[in-house]
Amino acid sequence: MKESQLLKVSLIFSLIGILILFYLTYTLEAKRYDINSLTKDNIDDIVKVKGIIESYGETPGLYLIDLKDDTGRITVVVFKDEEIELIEGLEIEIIGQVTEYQNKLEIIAKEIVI
Amino acid sequence: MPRKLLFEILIAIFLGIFAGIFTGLIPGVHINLVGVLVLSSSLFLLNYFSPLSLALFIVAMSITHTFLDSIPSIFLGAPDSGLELSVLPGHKLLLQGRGYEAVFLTVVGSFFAVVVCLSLTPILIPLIKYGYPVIEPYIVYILIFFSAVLILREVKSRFWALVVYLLSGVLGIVTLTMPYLKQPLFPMLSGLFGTSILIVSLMQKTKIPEQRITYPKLKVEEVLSYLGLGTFASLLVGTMPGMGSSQAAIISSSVKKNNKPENFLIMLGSINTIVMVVSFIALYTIDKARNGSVVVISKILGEFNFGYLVLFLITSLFVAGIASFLALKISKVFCKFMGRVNYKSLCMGVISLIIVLVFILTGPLGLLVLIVSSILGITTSLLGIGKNHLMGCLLLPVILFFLL
Repeated sequence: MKESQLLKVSLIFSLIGILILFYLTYTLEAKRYDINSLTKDNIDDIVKVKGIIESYGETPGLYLIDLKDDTGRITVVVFKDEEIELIEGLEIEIIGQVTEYQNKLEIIAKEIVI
Repeated sequence: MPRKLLFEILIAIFLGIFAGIFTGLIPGVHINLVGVLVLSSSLFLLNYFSPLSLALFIVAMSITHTFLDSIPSIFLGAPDSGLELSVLPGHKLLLQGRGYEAVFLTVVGSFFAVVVCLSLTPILIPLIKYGYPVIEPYIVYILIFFSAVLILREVKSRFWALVVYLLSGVLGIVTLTMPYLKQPLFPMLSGLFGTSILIVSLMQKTKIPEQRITYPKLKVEEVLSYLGLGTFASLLVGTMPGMGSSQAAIISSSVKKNNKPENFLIMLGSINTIVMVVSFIALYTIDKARNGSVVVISKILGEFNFGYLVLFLITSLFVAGIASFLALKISKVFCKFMGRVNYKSLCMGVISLIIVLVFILTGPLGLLVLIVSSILGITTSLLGIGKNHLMGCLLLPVILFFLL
């Protein structure tokens, strides 16, 4: 195959590949969980939970939110990429990665929908 | 300081150096990953170590990492974030049998970066404290300006440079926002700057000559000017949210025209280290944690005072000396290794290793990102334009994040 042909093929495949990734990003949704249904099997999984801010704290690099729903409570860690306004009692939806800290499950937030 | 604590701190620093060797040499294992592991197991570790020792473990690991991550980037073409642009000049020297010299140059950059940062700390503290709020609102325009400079300086084709910048930018946006992808940077950067270069090398039937132990002839004024440029760019973006070495590399590479690979490697070597050291100073001055390691440190230590900063900077200098020695020793081993193996088999081996690591760390979606990124990287090589336009994958998402 000539280099010019190879270039055309690779350019077309780059475009198709990016379009496929674009499609996947906007159609794939994280699975919704009740807080109590999260177990150690979910560690490293990306999950979606919805709940009310029971309380929250702040350190130099992050926010720590105690989130509760009808089934339980979990700590959500939010890295401070930007200032966010948190209010106790506010209902929020979190998409994030499940981790374990001090023998308890936590969620490292990737996205917060207020 | 009690003798027991001093002994414990020394143990923690040496363990950190040991961990940094692994994170630096293995493609895909980032210091943030080990930092998170330390944080997750901190309840257990705090039974045996003080919070300060744990924090110094992370400092030692992070600094060692910034000295050693150039080795896989230069010898294997598998770059870490922030060192994407080092693959090309590094590869160029490798093809001349000067792989060791390439590592030597990045080590020179990293070591003097620590020295420069330490000597400038009394100036950096007020500069970051008062300069950060002034620059913050304009950083997005600074990034747009330097992206434009980068594209306009493309000699071969500005049109294709823009196309590649935008395509990689879209790739970055979709990859970084993909819901199920756990470590999006690894497959994306490995594809754009790692596997694509290795595949092109295989296509061109590249042969790696026997590696010699050579040392560069450096002009002090040139070294100082590139170190200064690296320091300026690192300071500019190193304290900003969502930015780091990669953006600093783009800014500094777009400032100077016709960069000699030797000087460019010194500058890139310095950037990763300066960004790390500056992030310690930023934690003290503006109370903001700007990378994974510093987030973990702030979480372990709580309040970060001046005493901690001084201790961190002294530790950084101590570790820099040891890490320089280790990086040069290890790269000599790599040189011997490169002379003995068949380069085609090595490329195939590294590509296979990256595929396996991507699959283990990020799953099938990560594999798809790796394939698409590799094809885009190959397209850029076939177009004959600079690989630095692929940095749109990190610049465009950050620019849009700040603008929208």
